[in-house]
Amino acid sequence: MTRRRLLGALVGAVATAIGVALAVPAMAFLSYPARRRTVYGGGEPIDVASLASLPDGKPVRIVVTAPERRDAWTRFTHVTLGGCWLVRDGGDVRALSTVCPHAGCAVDWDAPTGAFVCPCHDSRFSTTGERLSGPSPRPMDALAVELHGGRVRVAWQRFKTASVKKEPV
Amino acid sequence: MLKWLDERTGWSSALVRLGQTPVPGGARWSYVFGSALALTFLVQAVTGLLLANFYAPSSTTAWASVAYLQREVTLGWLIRGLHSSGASMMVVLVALHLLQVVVWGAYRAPREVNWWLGLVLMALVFAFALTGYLLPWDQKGFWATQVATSLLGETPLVGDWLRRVIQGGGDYGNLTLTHFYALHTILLPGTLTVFVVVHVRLMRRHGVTPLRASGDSQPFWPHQALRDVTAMAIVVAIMFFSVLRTHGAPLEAPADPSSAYDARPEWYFVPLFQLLKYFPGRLESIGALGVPSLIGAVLFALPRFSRRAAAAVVLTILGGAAGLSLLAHRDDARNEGYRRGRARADADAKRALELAALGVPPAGGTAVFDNDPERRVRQSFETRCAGCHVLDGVGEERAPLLTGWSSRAWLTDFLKQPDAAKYFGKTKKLHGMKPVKPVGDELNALVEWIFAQGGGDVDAALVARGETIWTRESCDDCHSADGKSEGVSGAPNLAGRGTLAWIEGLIRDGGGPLYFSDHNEMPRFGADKLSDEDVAALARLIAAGRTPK
Ligand code: FES
Repeated sequence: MTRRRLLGALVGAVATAIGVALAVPAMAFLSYPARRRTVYGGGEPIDVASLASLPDGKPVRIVVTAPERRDAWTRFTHVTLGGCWLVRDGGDVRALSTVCPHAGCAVDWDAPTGAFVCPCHDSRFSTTGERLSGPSPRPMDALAVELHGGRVRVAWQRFKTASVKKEPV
Repeated sequence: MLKWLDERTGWSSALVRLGQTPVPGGARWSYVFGSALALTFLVQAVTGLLLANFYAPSSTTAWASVAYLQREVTLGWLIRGLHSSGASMMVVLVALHLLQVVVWGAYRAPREVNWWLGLVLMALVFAFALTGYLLPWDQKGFWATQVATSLLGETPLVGDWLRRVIQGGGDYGNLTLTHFYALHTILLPGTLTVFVVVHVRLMRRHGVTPLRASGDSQPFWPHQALRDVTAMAIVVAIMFFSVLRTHGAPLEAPADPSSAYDARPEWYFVPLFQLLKYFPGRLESIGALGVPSLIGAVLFALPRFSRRAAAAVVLTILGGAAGLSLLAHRDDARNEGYRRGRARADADAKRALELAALGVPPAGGTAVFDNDPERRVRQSFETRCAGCHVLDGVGEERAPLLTGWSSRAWLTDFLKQPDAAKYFGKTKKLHGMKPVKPVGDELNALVEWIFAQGGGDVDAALVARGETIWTRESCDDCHSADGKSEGVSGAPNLAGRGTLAWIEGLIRDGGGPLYFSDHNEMPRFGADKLSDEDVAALARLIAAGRTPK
């Protein structure tokens, strides 16, 4: 009887060893995207406009295009990352992502009322991006801006929607 | 908890029943092949599922995604290697299993149906191997599979239709990959699973066949179970070992339909490949389809054969396959051209994988070679310069020839006929330079002096003589050579002419005072058009013409 048990335990041990030998590399392989970036490029400041071309106080919509972007195995060049509103304030420029913090619709500029309006659920924001009304949980997302030799550079980024905190995705 | 589940499913009693299954004649090592095959199939299913998480079946992404999982993803090489060695292992185990069944006489009544099911399973294993081989869309898979599908097209009556349906059209492309992928990951696994289930059920109904009839039998658990699981462990160990030794399955350069590639199938198809050599021309379909069909028919009819005859048949088939493989191997070893092609393919494969580290351009596959600096510069030449300049046969003749630009031979010819079509004959404003008068040694000396402006090995005495000729012939009426003053009527300053810096300056702005000033017709290539690296690479490419090899 004990011999039988011993053999049974041996079968279990060998089977477990086979399982572990396969499962460990399988987990390492599968969890690669949890540990490593699979899409990168485009987060750096990108030249979008000249300061002189921006009217003072009136938002201008521009498209941010990355010269190069890696998406897993593909290397794209000239990739449209997204849009943003540039608001010039004298010698300063503010960049506000067009992505609505509520659910991700594209925020528009409503010239008559002088406010940003999201067409989806009617969130309204001031020219500085402050929330005026509507369901948006936070102000419009400001993007990092760099001024360099009369040119405006914007670092485009996407943030989690529907959360009070502004967190990069 | 387990008890709760057991009361509702009866799983433990089912297990106990399974463990009590009697093994006639007692536990034997010879019965392990079936379960070893089952495990290998499981390994294939698991590794296949893992690979599918990183694989994209299209002609633009297949190779790139496999290259990515092979070199970037953690242990990707190991998982892919296991999947590949698992395929080989299945073929080996199928052969061993078949041999065991025949020698033990398990193919005969009342087990004929299960024998036939086994044959279907064997065919499915080969279908798996064939469809999987194409998926990386590398040279090897692409070309070897071409052979298979074109042979399929030779099937009488339905061949062409069948080929088009399976390969998704008349030509290889996106649909070939989606079709093969669907076959390999959905249809074949589903079919195989069904057949395996029936096969195992039938096996349990009839029991194993002992070599010699004997009265006693042993329960499956634990003696046979231990043998089975040990065999499984050995199989898995061999797979790991072979992957570790070879660092996984090779990935060749991306499929290039325009290349000449001497394709060889995976080892288990080599006998068939070799066989085709003996059926030239129109007889090929007899070899390709007739022989395998004949083998299939004989195996199908095997239950009517005695054990001795059946064993002879199977050994003949296996022996024949082994013999053909040896012949194929010998042919290749003697074939100098094949060996050279092989070396080239290996070098391409290595380079392609290195370049894939930079990411593959969206065009996919062979576009990976565009990452090569040499190819890149040729491309920027084609897009930026070839509209007016000819270099190495590429481009249009509207401005001076760049092949061998400013080499001694180029300069000599140019000085004799500056307004020839290949030099300034087709420009609008840059004209007026007269052919130089000196000939022979004097011309050589003048050429040497001009050549010396760009640096490199020169004959100093000849240069000195050239300088006197330059003054004597009044070249300096129009050209300066001090690196400071503007020339007359767009005649460039010759100081440093031919150096990398001089060429880069010309590309950036040919209208500069030291170049063609207001006579310039060449577009300016500012930072918005070409990066510093691109300009430097172009300059290197053009300057290389000065010293032809
Ligand atoms: S998405 Fe903008 S308000 Fe809802």
